[in-house]
Amino acid sequence: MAKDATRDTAWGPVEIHREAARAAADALRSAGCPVELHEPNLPTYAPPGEGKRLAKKHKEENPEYEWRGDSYLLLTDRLRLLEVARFLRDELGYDMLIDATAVDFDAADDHLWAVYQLLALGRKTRLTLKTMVPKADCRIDSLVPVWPAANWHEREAAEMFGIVYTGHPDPRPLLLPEDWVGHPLRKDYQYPDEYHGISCK
Amino acid sequence: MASLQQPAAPANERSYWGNVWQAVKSTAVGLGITFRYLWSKPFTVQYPDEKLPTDDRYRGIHYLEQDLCIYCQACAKACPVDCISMDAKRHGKELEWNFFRVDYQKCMFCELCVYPCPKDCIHMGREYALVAEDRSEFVLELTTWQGLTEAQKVRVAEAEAKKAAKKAAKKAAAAAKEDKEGEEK
Amino acid sequence: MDDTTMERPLREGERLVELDVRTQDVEINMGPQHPATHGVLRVLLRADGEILTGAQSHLGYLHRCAEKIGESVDWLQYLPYTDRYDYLSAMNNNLAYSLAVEKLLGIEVPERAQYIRVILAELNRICSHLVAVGTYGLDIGAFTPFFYALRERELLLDIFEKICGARLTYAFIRPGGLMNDAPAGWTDQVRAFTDLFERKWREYWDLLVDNKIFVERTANVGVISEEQAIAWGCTGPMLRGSGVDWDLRRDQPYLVYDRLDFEVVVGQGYRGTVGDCFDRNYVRMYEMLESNRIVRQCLEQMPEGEIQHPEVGLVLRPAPGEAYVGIENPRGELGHYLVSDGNKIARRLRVRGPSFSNLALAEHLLPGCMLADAAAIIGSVDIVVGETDR
Repeated sequence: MAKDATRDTAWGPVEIHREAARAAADALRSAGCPVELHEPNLPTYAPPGEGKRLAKKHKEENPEYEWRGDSYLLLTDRLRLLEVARFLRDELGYDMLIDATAVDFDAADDHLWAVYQLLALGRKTRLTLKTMVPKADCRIDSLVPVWPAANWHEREAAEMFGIVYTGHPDPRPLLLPEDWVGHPLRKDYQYPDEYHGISCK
Repeated sequence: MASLQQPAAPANERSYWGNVWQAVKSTAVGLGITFRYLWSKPFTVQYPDEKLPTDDRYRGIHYLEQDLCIYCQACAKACPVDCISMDAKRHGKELEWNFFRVDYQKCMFCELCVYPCPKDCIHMGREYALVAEDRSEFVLELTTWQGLTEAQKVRVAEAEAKKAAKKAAKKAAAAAKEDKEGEEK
Repeated sequence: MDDTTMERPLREGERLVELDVRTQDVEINMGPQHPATHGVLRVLLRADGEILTGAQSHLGYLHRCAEKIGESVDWLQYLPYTDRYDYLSAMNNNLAYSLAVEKLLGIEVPERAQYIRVILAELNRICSHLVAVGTYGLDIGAFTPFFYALRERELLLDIFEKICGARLTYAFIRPGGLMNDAPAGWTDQVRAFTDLFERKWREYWDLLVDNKIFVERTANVGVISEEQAIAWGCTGPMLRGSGVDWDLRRDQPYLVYDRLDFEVVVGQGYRGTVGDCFDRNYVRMYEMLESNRIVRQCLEQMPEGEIQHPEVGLVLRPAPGEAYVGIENPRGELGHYLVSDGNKIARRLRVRGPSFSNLALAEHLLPGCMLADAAAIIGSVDIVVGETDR
């Protein structure tokens, strides 16, 4: 059995993905793509403040937390998403789109995040690609021409967040009924009072 | 590939009499198994008269040790579906229970209510059969008594008498002090 | 779409069924209540005689707003909801969610908890594959093997009941460790099962999988090429059945999988072409044996000790940040993408279900097949509708 894969943590390898993000950022920048590499600190083992007893105290001491998590690539110009996606697939070997979704972090924000989880089977690395979609002009290119896997994920994100994926071959709602009003995962979503005479309260 | 060896290739075609022999043999083997079960004890039980035993950790309908419960509502807060509701009135240390209800239309038997209990008084029981003719019957009352028990009443009365006595003593002491002060003046 | 039409040279053993006379197309609703769709999935089929000319999946009949619920309950309170996406592999769902929350928290659970988690996940994989292979037999007309499969599943459910008290929706593997330690005698029960299972496995193989009728129905049917499987984001037995050697347990090891010795089963066209319905079941069958091996090794290596991280209580407040963790579910990669803002409720909780991606490809496999193969193809994808709709 091949034991070449690394295991840094109980939830899977971390360092290999960070290196991959660095390499991908360098390659994309040298190809002239507008990407930024964000490398937030990962949580460390059993940090003070995560436990039930210390959480409150820690929060009082440090009201400003730093953002933590995996490294990710932030695409600053969302209009060049398709180009970046093709580059990632063809040049860097990210042949699998695992997940395409969106995040509405705060109702007060003026943009949504579009988040893509990519996987390179050959090099065994993951990559997170993010881009910001303004709520005022909520459209972004569909990635179906690059990865057909994006098809249903984008349909779901479209109905849940109201993002218009331009160039999507089949932009019907997927999970919600066709006459559903609103986009449920937006933070400013108002629950309906009734649906076809059925009270929702 | 898997460490297990590959299964053998399909057997060669048999002759006519080979097939007949195969049919007779397999029928005999099959019927042998059937007959063996004919004289064995049945595996099934006559539910609902008989019930199979459930495990110690089985998550069935809750039971509450009412005398231990301190009405802290930790279980109600931990419940993801808000199916626990309770009401009680405090008389000093004693609790006058009004109700402690679990709505089994919502409950998903996840056991998350059991862990936060500081007195370890709510448990998942072994009962699992929930049958009712009306939906309201799924809201079960877990308390075994409502209001104050006789023992509780005695204790409440004792506590109140003690309190009253203490109050009276305090009052008397204060009065005595006032008198003393008055005398001194 | 261009890259999914079935225009390709015929492989060996395949027949081109062509009709001289085109009849009027008939639209057939397969589902929402249909035994072969394993839940309330509706597939709208369009058939020209016996040949399918189009297929369209309609989802959402079992949509329970899991992601929206995740934004309104505590981190720990969400745990029972994870059971309900893929209810046949609830332990694995618990594990996937717990690992993602632990990544947000930055904690690693004690070693004994990791071993018990692996044992439970692998037993649950056997449990899930038993239902997958058993009901697949049911879909294409073999009734008896289903009962054989459920007979062993019953033993597994007893094992789960003994450790956690529930038989289907466990809510047992929690962020920070486990809900409870293994009770006395539990490991012996597991060991007895592993010894029994290898013998019983042979019965399914002889009775169902290597049966001529089964092979005729599945070999060369619904072939997914390697490129197609990768482009459509298939994972798990769907991907491995198409000959791609990829398993997150080996290639991105989590928990203690790097200390265990097991093989990744890859479809190799044992009875037909690589990537056909037979290969997907072949992968599931042999994966059960590998899981059995893993469980046995875990029982030997399992240390004594704590099962719960001491710092983690019942109310969790992960620091602001994000985490994606994907693990190998019986059906493929189950990923959780969690975004926290430092409060006790998630900001965004995204579930990437394996059945969801696998099913997206299935509707593109159907055009060009026989109507009777629709059940065989959809069944071989082994979807659980709880997960596609969430």
